Amino acid sequence: MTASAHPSAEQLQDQLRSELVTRFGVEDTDVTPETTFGELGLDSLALVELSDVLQSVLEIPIADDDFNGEQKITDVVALLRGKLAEHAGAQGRA
Amino acid sequence: MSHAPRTRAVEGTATTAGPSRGGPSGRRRTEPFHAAITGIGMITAGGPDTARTWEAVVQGRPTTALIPELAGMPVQLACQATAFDGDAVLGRRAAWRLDRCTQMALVAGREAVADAGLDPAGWDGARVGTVLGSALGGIGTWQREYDRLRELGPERISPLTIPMSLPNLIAGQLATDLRACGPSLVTSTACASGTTALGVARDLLRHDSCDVVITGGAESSLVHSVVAAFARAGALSRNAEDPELASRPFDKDRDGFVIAEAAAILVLEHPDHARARGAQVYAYLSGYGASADAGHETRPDPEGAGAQRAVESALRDAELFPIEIDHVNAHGTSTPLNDLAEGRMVRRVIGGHPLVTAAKGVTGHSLGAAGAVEAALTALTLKHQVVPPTAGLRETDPAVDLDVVRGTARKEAVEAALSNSFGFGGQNAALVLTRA
Repeated sequence: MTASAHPSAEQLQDQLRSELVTRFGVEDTDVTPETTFGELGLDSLALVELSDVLQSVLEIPIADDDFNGEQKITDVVALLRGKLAEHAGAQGRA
Repeated sequence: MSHAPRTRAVEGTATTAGPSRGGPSGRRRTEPFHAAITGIGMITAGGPDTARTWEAVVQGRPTTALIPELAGMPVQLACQATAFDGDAVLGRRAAWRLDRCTQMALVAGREAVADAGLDPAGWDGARVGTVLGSALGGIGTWQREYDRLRELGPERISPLTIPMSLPNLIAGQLATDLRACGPSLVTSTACASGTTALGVARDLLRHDSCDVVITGGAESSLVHSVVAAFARAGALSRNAEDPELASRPFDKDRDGFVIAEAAAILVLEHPDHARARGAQVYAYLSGYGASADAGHETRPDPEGAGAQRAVESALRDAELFPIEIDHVNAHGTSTPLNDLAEGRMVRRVIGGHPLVTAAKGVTGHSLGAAGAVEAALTALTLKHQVVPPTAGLRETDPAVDLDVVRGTARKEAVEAALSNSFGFGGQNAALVLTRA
């Protein structure tokens, strides 16, 4: 999946779930739209790692402080979609 | 006391209060302190637990192989704990943020604690210490993240680089895993680290700082920077044609050591605590000695003078005469210099009577973990009354005038044993273990 593919919210959530499960050992069934990162047991160091992983996978810039423990998966998906659109727009202008 | 260890008074030592003129330091001597070894956990190239490691060592089965991770390095031989998968045992959720050496320490630690019949859920954690040895800590993580920094830039280095690499975190993570809230530290005396850890752990029990200390060592540094540097220093065997004979301690044709990864954790317990709960005791840790060569950073004293001071100190601590040592688990690295110096030293200080073995013929040299692996194996020798052979040894170096066991294990009466470790930096440590 790349920035130009314009993934749906559902696709992005699946992508996020997949990374959380394979890289961070989170239980697949724990990842729901309403779960927060904190509830998944991801601390601040893990969230910096996650931002790095998603940066590589989605090929978009993600800052270390874009994520926090209070965010729900649905919020994160919205944030990522916004960043993808913004990044695609910036690429288009360039 | 049914399983009280034997004690022997040494001529010229005082066991009562008050100054003594018997010892060179003028300090008074105390009764020997016999810390009980009540649990053992091991992960080595010989196997991912104690039983399989002991079996490999008793059978004298070499584990050296050319490993793909070292492709392109001048030496690609290593003893890798291939059967250990941290993700599978600990779960990805715990494993992803631990260096492999720490993963190994945790798994071996759990095995040791369960083997001792202890349950962290029920113990007084404030009385449980964690003292582990490691030479290089999480250097695998350090190298991987440094490579990442060079390749992708400083914004992409893992924020976990420091906690995964710091050597002290091995003991810190083990303490967390076991709810052990007593003193926690990592000793670093290069290849003697694990032995030093056991000595320090025993001191914590002796001084009543703990009832139980989870101790040992962990090392996993089969990475390019470490292997290339040891190779350039001329320390590693280059016998790639015949890997089974690459690690061959005390052999006349030995040409260097084989680097290994391993963890060995022992539950060391105050003898009163062990007795009160009716614990099994593998053996007692009855003496510890340490010294510094204060000479060259890598070359041992040719006569082993520094090592001799450590051994003599351990014997005094255990109040044993050299003639009472039945078995020596040698440092025996398979390097030309170590084995000659150690061989001469053991012959001079202990004599020609003990059965000598060097486990590194099977396990390779796991640096900071090696002393703990060998202390655990020595405890098993005392329990089973079996001295394993020295794998790889075909013909003992004629300059080493010792009874080095080769071929097959020997069933012998072993009441007291010596386990030696000597580190770069000239840091020497020796343990005396006695039969339970």
